[in-house]
Amino acid sequence: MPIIKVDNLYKEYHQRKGREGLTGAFKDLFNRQFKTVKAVDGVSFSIEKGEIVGYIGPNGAGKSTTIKMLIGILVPSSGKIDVNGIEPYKHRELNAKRIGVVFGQRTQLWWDIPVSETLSLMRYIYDVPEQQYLENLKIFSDILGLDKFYHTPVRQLSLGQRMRADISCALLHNPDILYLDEPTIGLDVVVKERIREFIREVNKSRNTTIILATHDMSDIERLSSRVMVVNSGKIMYDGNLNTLKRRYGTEETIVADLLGRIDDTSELKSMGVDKIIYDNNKITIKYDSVKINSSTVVRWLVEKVETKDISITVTPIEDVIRKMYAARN
Amino acid sequence: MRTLRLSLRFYEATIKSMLEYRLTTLIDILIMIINFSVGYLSTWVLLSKFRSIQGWTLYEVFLLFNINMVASGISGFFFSEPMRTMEQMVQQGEFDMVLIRPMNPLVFTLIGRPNFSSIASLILGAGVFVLCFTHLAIHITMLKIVFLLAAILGAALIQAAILVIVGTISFWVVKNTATLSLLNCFNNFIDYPISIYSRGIQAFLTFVLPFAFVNFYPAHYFLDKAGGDLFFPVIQYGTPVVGIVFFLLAYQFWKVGVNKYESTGS
Amino acid sequence: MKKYLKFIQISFNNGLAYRVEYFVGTFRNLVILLVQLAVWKALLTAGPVTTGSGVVTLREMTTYVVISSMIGTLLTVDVIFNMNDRIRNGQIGMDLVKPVNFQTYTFCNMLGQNMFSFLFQLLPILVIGVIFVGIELPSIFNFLLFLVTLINAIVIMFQMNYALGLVAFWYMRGWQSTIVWILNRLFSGRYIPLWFFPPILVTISYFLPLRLMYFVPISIYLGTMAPLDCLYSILQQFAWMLVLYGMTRLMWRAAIKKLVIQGG
Repeated sequence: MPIIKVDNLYKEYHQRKGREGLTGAFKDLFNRQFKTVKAVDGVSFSIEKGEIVGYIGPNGAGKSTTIKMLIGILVPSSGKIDVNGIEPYKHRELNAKRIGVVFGQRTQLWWDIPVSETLSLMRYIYDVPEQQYLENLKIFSDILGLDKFYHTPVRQLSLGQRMRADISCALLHNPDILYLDEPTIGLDVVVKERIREFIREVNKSRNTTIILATHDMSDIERLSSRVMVVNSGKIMYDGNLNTLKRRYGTEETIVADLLGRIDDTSELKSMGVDKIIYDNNKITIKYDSVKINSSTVVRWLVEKVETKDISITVTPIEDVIRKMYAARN
Repeated sequence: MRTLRLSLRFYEATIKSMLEYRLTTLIDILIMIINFSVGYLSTWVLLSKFRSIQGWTLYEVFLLFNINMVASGISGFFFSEPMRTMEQMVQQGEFDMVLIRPMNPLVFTLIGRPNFSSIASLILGAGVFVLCFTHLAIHITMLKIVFLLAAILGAALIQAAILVIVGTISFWVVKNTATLSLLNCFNNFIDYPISIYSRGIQAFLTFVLPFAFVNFYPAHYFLDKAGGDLFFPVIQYGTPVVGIVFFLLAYQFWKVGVNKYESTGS
Repeated sequence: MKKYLKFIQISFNNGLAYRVEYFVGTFRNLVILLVQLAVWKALLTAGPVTTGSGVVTLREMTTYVVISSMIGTLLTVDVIFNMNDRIRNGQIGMDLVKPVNFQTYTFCNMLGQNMFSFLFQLLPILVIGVIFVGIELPSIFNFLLFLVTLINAIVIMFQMNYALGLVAFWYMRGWQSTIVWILNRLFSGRYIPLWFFPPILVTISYFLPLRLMYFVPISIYLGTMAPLDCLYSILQQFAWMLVLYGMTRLMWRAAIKKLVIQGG
């Protein structure tokens, strides 16, 4: 029995189409023309409890729209969604109790008060028993380092801290399902890693179903084996991530500014990296992500030397999709 | 009620942060007090020369003005900040965050943002009531006190309803702050007894936008004013009922707005 | 010189973007006007009233509030608000880099707004005042004097607002506008003419420039001021303009020093 089942989901927006010129504007006053935009165009899938599913696609592909409908804050134009036995938009409050949401672009915390106050308010809103509350706080402190900024007002937090606080907030009441919409956007590599590790841990220990919508492939790599590729409101691929990578695009590049020296890079070479350019304080590593994982490379690097700045360029999802289209024709 | 406990905890947090910045808070309070007093001072200046306006003497006009101040203080405390920020929340899609919670969306928006300056109106207003009672030779009964309290709550509901209506308009229109000023304009009318206006304006303030029920009709009853020029005498007791009805209408409008947001997103 | 004219033009065009706010403002002014007309009608039903300065008729009061409302549209500007905002979020840095005198620049902005207000807020009130309310019209001489005092009033109002705006360099809570509004309500004669004031308030009002912005111009318009008093008032206006100008120069220098030393 899947925990989420989506059947033939459609979401259409009617945008006003403005006609050209002065006479056009005049005509518009009497007879408005509309353009129908299909944000979600016939999407169907099902997700079992405990799965981690990546929902990947370029900006504007319809990811956020689908997530909002799954959460229950947006009403579909047609089609059926079943989450935990109920239709989310019809029973919004009931559904809300069992899910946690993190939107990367917006915070759910109150702006002027400390993180601690937001969390204790959430505790009351979701009726979290005291023991569970304290247990969770401890886990958040241990793995996410929440205790370091627990008493800081939210507006003084860095982006990474704010994101960690948002995740703590979303998981405080032990939801069945966790929805993440671009959770690592704008974060530096090290913080991203920490968060991904935490999410994997939550999934393992609590069997929480995790839906991760993003346009960054490296987000999904470490987390899920199943990925759905969406473009223009349609699902183009629903299956194993590695299979996808092997088929369509796997070269990645890591560039890092170093504060120390690496004496021996041969170890990295033996791990399966394609090319290393080591120049004074800068190292560029090119590799095939099917052979070796970006996080593995990063971890090796961080263990060997102190780094100032690390950036990873993956095959952008747009290229993957383009190759997918090309392959189909 | 769980919501009450929730809100109290939140106020605790805000008050804690206010106490941290003591000098700022003190000056803010001073400004609040001055702000509050200005209206009364102007009326005092006017009526110390003219004695009465349309048969209403100084302390009677104070009472009239004060009912609105106290009622607005109550409604402002809960509703002014949330409804003012509706524009931004809808435009930036932050209202999604409200809908995520397992709670009534209106109640949730209120929890976030109390407006503590409104408390000043409440406290000072209570003082002004005492002042008025001592200067006026009205026959104060238990019934009258109970009615006054009910009327103040009803008046608060009317003011709250106006704020909710303005906030709800954000679901359709971008320039919310302008609308706020527009609807709030009518508050200027009830600074004085509405009997000074034409019949047409009185009718508007009674049957279209019930501002007259905020302070004029309750004061009329409370001060035992001769009921000659009212539309019908029983209207004096109307405020609690009008408050509830008007607020429920505003709440329905709010629900329509939320439905629209859920259909078209942000 | 030309660049300053450009600023005025830009500010005026900006008004179009905010036309909704302007219309609401006009509506607000009309509502308040309506209230005041009703109040004075009720207060003066028994007939004209005698004050220390002479007899006041209903028609005079009606004219008073209409003229006051029109002056209000020219004297209500968001100089303080803008300055507070720009200083608070650091945008002031951008303004200081430009090769313009900041004070003149702010003044031009205000003029642009004033012109917009004149067309879309003042004129409607004037039309209603003449056609529907039937206000008194002044003699040519009084009107010219009135214009002089009005122009002075706009300058003084700007300088006052500018000085208060500069306070934001030191103290950013933003209560300056509230203080101006409160003082205006009590001491300027904007809502209640000084003829009706208790003596204490009249005395206090002589220490502030506010009555020179509302009460004095309106009195000149109505012709209730003796010629010598008119002259005296205009001289006072000039005196205040000098004093405020000196103040703003000093404050500006101190503000720049603070900015350079402290940065943010």
